[in-house]
Amino acid sequence: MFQNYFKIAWRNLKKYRFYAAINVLGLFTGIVFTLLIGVYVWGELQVNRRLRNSERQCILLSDWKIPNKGVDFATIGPLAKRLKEDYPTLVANYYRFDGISSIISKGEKRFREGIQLGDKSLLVMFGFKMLYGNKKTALSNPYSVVITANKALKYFGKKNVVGETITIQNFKGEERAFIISGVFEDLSVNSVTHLNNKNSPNTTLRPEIFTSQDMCAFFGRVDFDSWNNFYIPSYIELKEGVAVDDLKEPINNLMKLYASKAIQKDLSVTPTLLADFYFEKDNGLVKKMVYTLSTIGLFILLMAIINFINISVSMSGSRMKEIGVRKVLGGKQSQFISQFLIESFILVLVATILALVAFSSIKPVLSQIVGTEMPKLTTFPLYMIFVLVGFVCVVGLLAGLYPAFVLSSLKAVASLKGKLEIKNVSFQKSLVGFQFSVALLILISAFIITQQVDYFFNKDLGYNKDYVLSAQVPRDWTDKGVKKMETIRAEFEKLPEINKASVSFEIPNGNNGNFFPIHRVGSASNESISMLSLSVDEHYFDTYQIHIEESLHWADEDKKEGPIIVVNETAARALGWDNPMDALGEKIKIKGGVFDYTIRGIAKDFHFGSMTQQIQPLAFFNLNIFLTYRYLNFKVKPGDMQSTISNIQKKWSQLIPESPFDYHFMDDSLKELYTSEIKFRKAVYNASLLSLAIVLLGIVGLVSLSAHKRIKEVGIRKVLGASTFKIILLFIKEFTIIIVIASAIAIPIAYYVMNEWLNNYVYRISMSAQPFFGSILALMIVAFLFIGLMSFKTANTNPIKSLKTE
Amino acid sequence: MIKVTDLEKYYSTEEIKTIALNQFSFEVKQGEFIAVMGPSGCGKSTLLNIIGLLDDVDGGSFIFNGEDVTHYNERKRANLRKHNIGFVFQSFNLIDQLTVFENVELPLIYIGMKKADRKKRVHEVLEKMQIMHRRNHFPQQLSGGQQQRVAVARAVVNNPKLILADEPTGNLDSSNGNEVMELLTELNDQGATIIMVTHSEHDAKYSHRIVRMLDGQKVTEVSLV
Repeated sequence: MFQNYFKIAWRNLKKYRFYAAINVLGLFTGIVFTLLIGVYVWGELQVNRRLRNSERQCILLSDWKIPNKGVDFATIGPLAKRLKEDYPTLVANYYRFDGISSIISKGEKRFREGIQLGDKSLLVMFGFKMLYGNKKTALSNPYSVVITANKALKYFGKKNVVGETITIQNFKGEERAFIISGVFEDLSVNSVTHLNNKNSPNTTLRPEIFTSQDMCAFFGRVDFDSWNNFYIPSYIELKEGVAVDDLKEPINNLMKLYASKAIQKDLSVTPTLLADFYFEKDNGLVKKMVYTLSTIGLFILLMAIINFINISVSMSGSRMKEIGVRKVLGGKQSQFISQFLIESFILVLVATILALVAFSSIKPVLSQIVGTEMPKLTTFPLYMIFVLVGFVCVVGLLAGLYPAFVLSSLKAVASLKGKLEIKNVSFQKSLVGFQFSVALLILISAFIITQQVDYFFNKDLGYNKDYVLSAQVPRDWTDKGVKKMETIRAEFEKLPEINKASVSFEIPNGNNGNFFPIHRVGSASNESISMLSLSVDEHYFDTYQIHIEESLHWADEDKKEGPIIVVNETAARALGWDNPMDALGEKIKIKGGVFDYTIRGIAKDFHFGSMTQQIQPLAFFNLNIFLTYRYLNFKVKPGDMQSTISNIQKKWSQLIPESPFDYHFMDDSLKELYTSEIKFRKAVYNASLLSLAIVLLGIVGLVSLSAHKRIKEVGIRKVLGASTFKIILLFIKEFTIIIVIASAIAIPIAYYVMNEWLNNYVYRISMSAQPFFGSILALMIVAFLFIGLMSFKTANTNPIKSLKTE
Repeated sequence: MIKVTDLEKYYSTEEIKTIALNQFSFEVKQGEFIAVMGPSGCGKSTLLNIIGLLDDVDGGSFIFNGEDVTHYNERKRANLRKHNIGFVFQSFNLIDQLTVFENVELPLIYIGMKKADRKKRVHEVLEKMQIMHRRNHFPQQLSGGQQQRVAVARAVVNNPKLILADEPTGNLDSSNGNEVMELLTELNDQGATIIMVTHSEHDAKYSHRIVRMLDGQKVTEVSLV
């Protein structure tokens, strides 16, 4: 019996190969996309799962009452250690680190790399596989490092480099040889070594070099034992059977015993399982991306399945006789259902196999979209084969069930006469309508997301990002160091290609470290405002063309009236001056600080960070007082960028030979700021192309079938004098109504969904009619063009021929 | 073998109700060869569909082999059909995607015969119908006469007690038509009961009895033996 089904199925597919091809192509498109998204989602689910005992590992997250006082993913330095020492029944192990970036060199090779200074427990706690070296002793000696195989290859061209040395620079520019005592196998994505830059396109600073926290002194970092150091990411491995919540009380107890009153009041520390942490961090960015892509993938698969259903049902006209005969000969309905299901299974199977073949070549595209390295198919566990088989079965069932029931329930006599009496044409039409709706929804979203992303880049940021580039410099945070850096700055400014140069700790990329509580002199300190505090020189404003009232020279003014400061308009208002200009000449101070700062400039508000946030109160401190800097910023002249860069490069290697000229244009830094939006735009672009392709495939199938069915009607109309164009209009009319209804459904949904999305942004476009009507028009034009092309042949056939067909 | 009494069948659309069979009664004995004649639309094919258990009735009763099958459901009818009734159609109704052999084999698959037995039986019938040499061809590669012989072969392959033929020569030229009629006569001689709907007086002469119909009713019944 089954053999017979397969035979018939195969011959049917061969006979109607055009429709079979359309079906397979549609399913293929849907399945490839679903597969890619499936692999992406699986990859995201695997993050942290490969860590040893990951189900018992958590990160200590900080929640500060004063926003921005610290970062959420780090906590008080000694906390984790104390938990292990004081509560050995709860805590099995802990790991803490301080993440820095510095210059690593070996011979001619010289790069900036991310480095983790951390506890030695790193070697055993997470189960990272050590290819060479001793897990127990690798970091015991001072000036020893463990690196990944990847970095070993980068610097030495081989993996076994235990005993070799590399040179690491500290922030003062001093260099020191470190001995390599272990080599890790390359690390899969996890929240320990990829804590912050998992989603960043700039993965070069992902730490792959690890050394002991005993080296803090060499790097000039505060050690982990200070209860006032709350910038230490900390991980805890719980003992078996201990719940995360069991840690809450011990944490509170320790805070009460050791932390300062202020910190006790402001900070609450929550242990969070690593698996949850990854999904929930950055406002649930990963979770949102996983959900959004899954939904889009499901809808696209659904569209492909609908194509299948429509084409199968429409094709049934040619299957009528076969069904009739089989019924007459005693075939049962269940047998027909099996037969049609087998046919759909074969098609789904073919499409899936093609999709698997195509997978590897399409994978890099999606990797780029989601900004995550996607796992190879071969890295999947064997049981995934069953998942795939299950997928084929489910899709085959979904696609085949409706046609199977419709076709098998036809009456024997009617089918013998070849009468296709499908009562539910409206059902089929609504399926097509659904496809149009989904395509429109995705199209409109793509349109609006593009508008919003463009808005980010074209909106007046309040400063001029064009032709500004910046590069990190070695740090010598002393009076002498700052003076030296200023001299270097002045040297650069002599280059004819450079308009302006400045030194600062921050660049306007939203990546800020310091927030200080600031209040007016004379007002109570509990009225202080948490302000993002930048450390800049006086040339910063000109470099970025930030407009300030009153020009100023830090150095001169300092002597006259003590330290001076610049705040932005928002800060002035927040401090209580309704008219920001009234703040000029007034004095403010850091809560608990010694100095009174005179406000000597009001900077016009500008977007320091992402437009997802309101402009925040901002204070510009004099570099000479703060003594911290990281960047040299250059405003270069428009023109031949290549020669400009190479001239700066030349000068750089004369002035700062110890550090590579690793520069970023402000434009690129901004792109990094909006990575998730740009990714989302790419994803939606691709999804709209796919959905459009599937809709067009659906149109191809339905129009050619409709043409086939109406061939006699077309013949008669032509005999009676209809023109080719009139005939084409006939087919277009069929679809116009569907598109109109589909639009009526898609518009409110798109409006709602996009409005919700736009509400994430403080600075957003207001929705106009343009994306909606533009999308509908675009879809109509493409659809009509296709319908025209498809029906042209029928419309142009000699009527005698078409009449004979009957 | 067959006894229908006061059969009624209507076809209704939203506006009109068409009477296809009106108080139709007749009886067929085992081994008889009956020709049913009448103008288009008189209800011949409807009668054949009902006797063939392809269609249900709106009134009257239908006894098949001593069993009242009037109210049988689709499953029971299909079961009765596949064991007892063979069909021959004017338009052959062969499945284009199956070869001659596979077309003839189909009824045997549905009654669950074993593969080896099926092969033997199909070959027997194809030999008898003289189309053995065409067994691996597809229907569209055969002439009309050959196609109808395949259809007859398929109708008799499971030794049905009753063969229903709906204008079996309607699409054939006279010589092919005669061949098919000879074949039916031969089957009848071997014991099969045959009911044939036809427009052809010539074909009707092969039968034992001619039933003439008009407007869903029996008009005359003439015995030729």
